Amino acid sequence: MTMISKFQDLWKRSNITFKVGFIILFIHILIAITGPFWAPYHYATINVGEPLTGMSWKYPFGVDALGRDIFSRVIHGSWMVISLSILGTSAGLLVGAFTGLFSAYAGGWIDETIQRINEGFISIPFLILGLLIILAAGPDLSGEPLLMALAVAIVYAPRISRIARSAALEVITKDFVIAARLRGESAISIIRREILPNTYGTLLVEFAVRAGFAPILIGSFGYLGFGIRPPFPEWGSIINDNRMLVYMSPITVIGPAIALSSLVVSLNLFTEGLARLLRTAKREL
Amino acid sequence: MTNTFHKKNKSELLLEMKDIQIDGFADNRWHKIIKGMNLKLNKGEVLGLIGESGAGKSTIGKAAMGYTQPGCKLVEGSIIFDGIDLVNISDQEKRNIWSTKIAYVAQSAAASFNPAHKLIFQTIEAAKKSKINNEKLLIKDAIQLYKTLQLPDSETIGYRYPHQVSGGQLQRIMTAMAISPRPELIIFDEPTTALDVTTQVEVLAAIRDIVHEFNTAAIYITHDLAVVAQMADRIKVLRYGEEVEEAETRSMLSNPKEKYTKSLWSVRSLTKPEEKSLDTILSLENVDASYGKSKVLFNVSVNIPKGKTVAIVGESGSGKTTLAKVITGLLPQTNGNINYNEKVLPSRLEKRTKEQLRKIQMIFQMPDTAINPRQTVEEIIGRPIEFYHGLKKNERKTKVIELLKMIELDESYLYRFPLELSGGQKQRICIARALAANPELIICDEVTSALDQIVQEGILKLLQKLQKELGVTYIFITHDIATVKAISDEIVVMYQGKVVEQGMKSQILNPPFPEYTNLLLSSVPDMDPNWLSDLLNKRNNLKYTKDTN
Repeated sequence: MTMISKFQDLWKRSNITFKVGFIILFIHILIAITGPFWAPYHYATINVGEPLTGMSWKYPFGVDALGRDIFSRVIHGSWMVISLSILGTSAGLLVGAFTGLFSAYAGGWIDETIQRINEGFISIPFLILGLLIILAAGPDLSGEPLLMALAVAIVYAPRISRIARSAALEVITKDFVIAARLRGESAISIIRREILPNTYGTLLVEFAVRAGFAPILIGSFGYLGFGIRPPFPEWGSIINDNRMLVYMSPITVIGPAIALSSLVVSLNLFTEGLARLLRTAKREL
Repeated sequence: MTNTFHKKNKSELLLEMKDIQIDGFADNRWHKIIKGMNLKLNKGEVLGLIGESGAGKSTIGKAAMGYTQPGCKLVEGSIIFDGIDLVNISDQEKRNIWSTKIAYVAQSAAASFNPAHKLIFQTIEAAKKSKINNEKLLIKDAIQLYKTLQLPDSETIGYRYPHQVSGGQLQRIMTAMAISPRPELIIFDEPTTALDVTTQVEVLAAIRDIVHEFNTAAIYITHDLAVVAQMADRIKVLRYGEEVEEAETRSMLSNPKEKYTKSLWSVRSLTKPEEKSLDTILSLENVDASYGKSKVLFNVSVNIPKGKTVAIVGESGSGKTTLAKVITGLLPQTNGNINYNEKVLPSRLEKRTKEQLRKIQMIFQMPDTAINPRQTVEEIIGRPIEFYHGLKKNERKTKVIELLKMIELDESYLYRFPLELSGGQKQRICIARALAANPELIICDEVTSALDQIVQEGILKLLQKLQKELGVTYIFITHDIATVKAISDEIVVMYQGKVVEQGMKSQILNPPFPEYTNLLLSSVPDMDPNWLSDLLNKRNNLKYTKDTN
């Protein structure tokens, strides 16, 4: 079966949640990739319009206090938000899945130690942990996009690790794992061949859920002034910049907020739909 | 006890099902599960439904209550119970009938009780709800029922929680629960399948007595012919949702008409002449083993002769599987030695060499969980070939195909996933995986107990054939004596973590027996419909003589 016909088949069996999520997400990704080429203005160009004139055909999201076109800024920022979210979540998944599966397989004091460390991280709220990481990186590194991804990864890894561990614990008791042990296979080989493939479904859903929340986390860093160094138009920082203008020109805040929330909602719908699909068709992926 | 007294009232029709057709939903479409079946049951009569799994036994049993499982629907047919049309009444009316007139005893009693309530209140719940009597009298009645069912401490056992009694006791309490509202029909859905043979006898006797005592009609669903022979007046054989044949129990047993019915007997007809071997491949010397602080194996010494089959028998909890774990190194022994080819085998799995591991392979009870659902047949069988013999790609593939032929499958299975295989095929794949290592000793842990009778026969024949061709030694762990008779040379009887006796098949299966072996052997149901009555008489007499002495 080719990729396309496989996708067609998936689409046919999918539910409305999946479809709506997929379409909005697809538009977002399309804008992220092509946006920089057709955006009306560069994100840092000032005085392209009269500040605070509100919404118009020329400036759909209005103009900020420096006269920058917010619509262009949102479009230019798009690829960064999406790629950092995915990069950060992927790194978190990689570390989390490995520690989780290993912890479950090793058992005993290794498992105990890894889990206590995980719990230590999890006990610190998302945002505070993220800010602590950015602060710990020091003034030279703060404002670097990759630092945002790293913060996301460190916030997510222990949480994903726990999920991976519990998914693995279910598999480990199965006879095929015992059979592999009796064969004399190494721990790494057992984890890779026998356990990991049986946790794909759980990990995939976990990845999608986490990726859906990552833009909010990155946006929050920006909103609190810990985001990517200005003038780069990170969405959270655009909202923060125009916070004061919200009564005079509400669209300057609502515009980027819509971009952020529609991305988060689409990722969540997509995830939810995907999880439901996976429940019915475990074999397809 | 004879069959004469329950012949009264036999002519009055209680249940009539006509042209029943039930569809089930799977893979996005409706499939026919029951394809037009008729069933008649008179008052006080016991009808046995037998067939392999997927034959539609449980579905038709539930339909007799006017119930279909979620995902199933009654497409056609009429169900008349005691003059009431069960198809066309409301759910509320159905519920009233279920609580008072029809009762259902499920296969797994443990899963059917509410763990948070005491047993006796669950026993009388239905009767209390339908206001048959007041609570005090019902409790008195329940205790009386417990006595009839020969439950120990019948006065107080009801005040325990479900986890505080054994599986066999729970199954009997569930029968008491079904009887409590004095229904006219009880549906028994494999009530003894999950029990040990020694417990099964007690439950069977209890169920039979109580059905006779209250002149209740019953539908008895099972896949075990010998069991149904003890219980039923008439037997109906099902296959693929259709009736194969129906007859009175005795005439069915003595003269089955259809080929399929005859094949249900076949496992019991398998035999193997025993052979003695002087070479020992594996021996255990005074082995002790424990899980944490609780000791489970006591001073076990066993000899496994080369190229032969040793059956290890005993009920659950006797330490059979633990013994397998000790031999494979999964559970290191706390005391004693394991010798393989006269050399001491390291007790821990991690300490054994690859070569030592290769020589001892294991086949598991549940083929469903013994193979990785995410791997293809080629990967499953290919892995040990690659791992032990270092064969890659095409060489590996050729070897896998060779093994597939050995287990009577062909190349077309190479790229299938376990999901696309039947239970019997999965077990064959497990056998091939064990053979791929080119082992000298294979431990078979209850390898046929999760399979249907006909499939069991196929697997056992295959194992025998492979032994002849390859000269492998089998340790065959089982609780099924029919299987033991079919394939073993030597037998080890275990009880509560100790070896009761070891010897050649002819010696163990023929008198004189030690006490436990006798109990175990005599508890295995025979095809003879008089078997249960005879056995109970014998045991009662024995008790009587003991008491008077």
